[in-house]
Amino acid sequence: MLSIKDAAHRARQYLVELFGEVADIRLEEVESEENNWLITLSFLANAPQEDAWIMTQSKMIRQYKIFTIDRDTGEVLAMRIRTLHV
Amino acid sequence: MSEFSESLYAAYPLLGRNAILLDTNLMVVYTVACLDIYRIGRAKRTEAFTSTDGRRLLYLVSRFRRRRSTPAILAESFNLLEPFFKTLPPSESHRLQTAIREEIDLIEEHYVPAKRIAADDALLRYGFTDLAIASHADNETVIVTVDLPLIGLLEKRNLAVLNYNHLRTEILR
Repeated sequence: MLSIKDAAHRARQYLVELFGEVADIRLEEVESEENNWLITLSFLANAPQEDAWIMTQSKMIRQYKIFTIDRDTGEVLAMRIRTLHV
Repeated sequence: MSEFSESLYAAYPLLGRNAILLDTNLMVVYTVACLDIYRIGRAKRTEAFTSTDGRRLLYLVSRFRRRRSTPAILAESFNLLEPFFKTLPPSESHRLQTAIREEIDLIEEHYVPAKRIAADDALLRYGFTDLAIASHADNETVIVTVDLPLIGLLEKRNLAVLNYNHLRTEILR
């Protein structure tokens, strides 16, 4: 059975594999759902810029991703955008 | 308890405030921790936390001069813990009841009339418990929670809120 710490590590590893070494990764949420851990991580990434000249003025925004991880196998089953509507 | 000491307070200045208010989920973990931190990872309600979290919460709360809560948080926490209470042998049940009683003695309850909460446009999205927390505007309390939508609401209303999960981000390293 995967511990919370191991699940968080798997999520982080998956994130880095997909996005590279992103800045300021934070643990945001830990939940259990049936046989899975749901781990939400946030990190800083460059905001998409439409104008080339703005690209030089890199603006960082915080993004949130939620990972579904099988508690038995440690497999990352899904990664979704965690949307927050306030 | 040095493992949680000064570096934590340097990284999170809000922890230096006078008063703390724990959201329902953390109140549940804290209550179980008052009995036995090693039950935290084993009880269904608190399985997303560990004994380290229990130790950290006990330490954090003890550092505040004032503890605050709302009737809704206390009622919700108690309801969520009922199945856990039923698993306890009489001796532990008695010990926990004593611990809860002592804790309640220390808590300042912040009561907000339901009609005031019901007037809030965000009622259907957040409900009475979260909006009672959101009405807790003062300069000395830090609200500690793991509820991301609630954090968003509180930040939008310029309230001092801390995501407890940030305090355990070290488990990523």
